[in-house]
Amino acid sequence: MPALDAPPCDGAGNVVPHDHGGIQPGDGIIRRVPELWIVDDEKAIGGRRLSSMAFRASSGPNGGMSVDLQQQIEEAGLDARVFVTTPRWIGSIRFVAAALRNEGFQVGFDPTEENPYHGQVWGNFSKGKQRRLRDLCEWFVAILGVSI
Amino acid sequence: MSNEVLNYDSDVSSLRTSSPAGLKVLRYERRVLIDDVEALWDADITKKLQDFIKLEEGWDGYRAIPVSFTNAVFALRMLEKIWVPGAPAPAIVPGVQGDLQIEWHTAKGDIELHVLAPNVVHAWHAKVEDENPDGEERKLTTDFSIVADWVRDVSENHAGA
Repeated sequence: MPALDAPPCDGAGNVVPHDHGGIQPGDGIIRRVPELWIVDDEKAIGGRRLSSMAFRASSGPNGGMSVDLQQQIEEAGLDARVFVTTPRWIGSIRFVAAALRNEGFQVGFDPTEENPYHGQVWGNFSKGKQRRLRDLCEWFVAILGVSI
Repeated sequence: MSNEVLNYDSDVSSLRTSSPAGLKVLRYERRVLIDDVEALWDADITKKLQDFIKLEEGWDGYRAIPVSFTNAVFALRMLEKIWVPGAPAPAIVPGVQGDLQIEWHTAKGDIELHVLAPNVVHAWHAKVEDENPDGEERKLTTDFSIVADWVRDVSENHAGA
């Protein structure tokens, strides 16, 4: 199991937005990106890129952007690339925690039954910030022919 | 199915009714049914939305739910209203909470229509030559005439236009 302290929760047991002190500045923050989020763009190299959906939080008071915590996956002895592509193959991009925090985002821990290494990124996902997120990440498991 | 008559103010008078585009306009001017959206945009839009409604939970690798039926139907009606002859078909992508996004990305600019719920649409438009890279954002409910203008704008010089 991940060696992170339990995250703060509200009265209903839902994890609330927080910046987890156990997630180190250099830790990899992985975001899975399904092929359904690929769009055509005449301006993109190769003509295809990721939709802004890849850089958007879910709605609701505690809604953040779902991610996988690379350090916790690897400390558990797992291959992070295998973990984030199993059981469903899916592409993924990678941020560094410090870069997200420098943009004002909180990087938290939100383990689920299916994914004990699940985290969330909370903050202001404005158009400007979405563009910054796009600039800050790189492919972790690349989808061939698709630009970020 | 929708059988409402839509008032569309685009100038289509130059289109010959014997042409494929003209036939589309004729059909539009009579009564537009949801299935006709595919003919208008010349794209497999209905099939794509049907697939999104049937997505299994967790399709994004996390906890995403399928696109809601009401959002899909609303998106079709919205696409009827903003159709511009000759414009490229939009991309449609599912969101993680039943929402969806309709997008155009051309050499001239970008448009994104985030459908959060029926009559709750966050619209964004950016022109390539604009000095403000953040573009223009609007919250739309029932009037999408500005989006038709945006679509016309990004469609200029498009290969299919």
